[in-house]
Amino acid sequence: MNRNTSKPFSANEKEIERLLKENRRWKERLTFFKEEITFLNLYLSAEIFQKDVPNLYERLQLFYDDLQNIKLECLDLTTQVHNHRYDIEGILECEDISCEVFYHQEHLKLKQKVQDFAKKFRKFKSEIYSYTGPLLRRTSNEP
Amino acid sequence: MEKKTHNYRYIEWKTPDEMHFSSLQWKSELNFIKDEHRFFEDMLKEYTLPILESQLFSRVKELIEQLNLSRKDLKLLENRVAQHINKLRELLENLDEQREGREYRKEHKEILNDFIHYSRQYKRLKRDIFEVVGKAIKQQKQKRLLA
Repeated sequence: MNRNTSKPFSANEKEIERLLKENRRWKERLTFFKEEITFLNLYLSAEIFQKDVPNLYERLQLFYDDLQNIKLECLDLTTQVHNHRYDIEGILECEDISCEVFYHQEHLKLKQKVQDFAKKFRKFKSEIYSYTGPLLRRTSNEP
Repeated sequence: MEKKTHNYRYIEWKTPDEMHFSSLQWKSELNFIKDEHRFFEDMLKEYTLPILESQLFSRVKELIEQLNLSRKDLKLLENRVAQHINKLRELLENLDEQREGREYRKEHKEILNDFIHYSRQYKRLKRDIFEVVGKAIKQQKQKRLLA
């Protein structure tokens, strides 16, 4: 659900600046997600887990495969956010209100997509943490 | 890092329902960070052998201290958010709504500012953890290849 402050949109420079700022924030967020994905890639394929855990490698492989899909989704969303910047800048050139409304709606849709992705990624990270956290190799107990 | 204070004028237009929704989002994010703290702490404390071998031990000690500080800050912020959520319930029942409403919005802005500041600091800490643990994992992999 989109809970944006319900102020009606009007295409003036101040509003465009607000949309651009929001767009920059999404970009920063997605850039950080990419860094997290890179780390998780390394983490899941490192030899840091306890030995002799049933199905450990199968589970890690499943996480790894899901992570590759998340990575692709993140890249795709980054491209959409990048391209959307030009749509926002183009709003000022709209000749009628329906054109402005269309691009504003696109903005809200993309906002929702970024939020949904963030939620999905957070859930995925929680699953990795709760499964792998207790399985980290305890140096003091294990050779 | 210096904490920038923003005015967030759009808060003036937010309905109580929207402010409540934001507060619940803060609460949920802070809950997630709490779990993440636990995970990172386990990782830094338990994954010691490669870290010792990679000579990153003192750096890891610093990160564990920073995690502890981050956890304390989180607790404070979490309490403020919880009180803020409860206050809205009281506010909706209060007759002197206008004055209380102004104060509530002011508090909402202050928490928003602190939440954003906290998130930025925490992101930096995560970046440092990724860098150090990433280095240790890579060095461990190289050693195995050369062994």
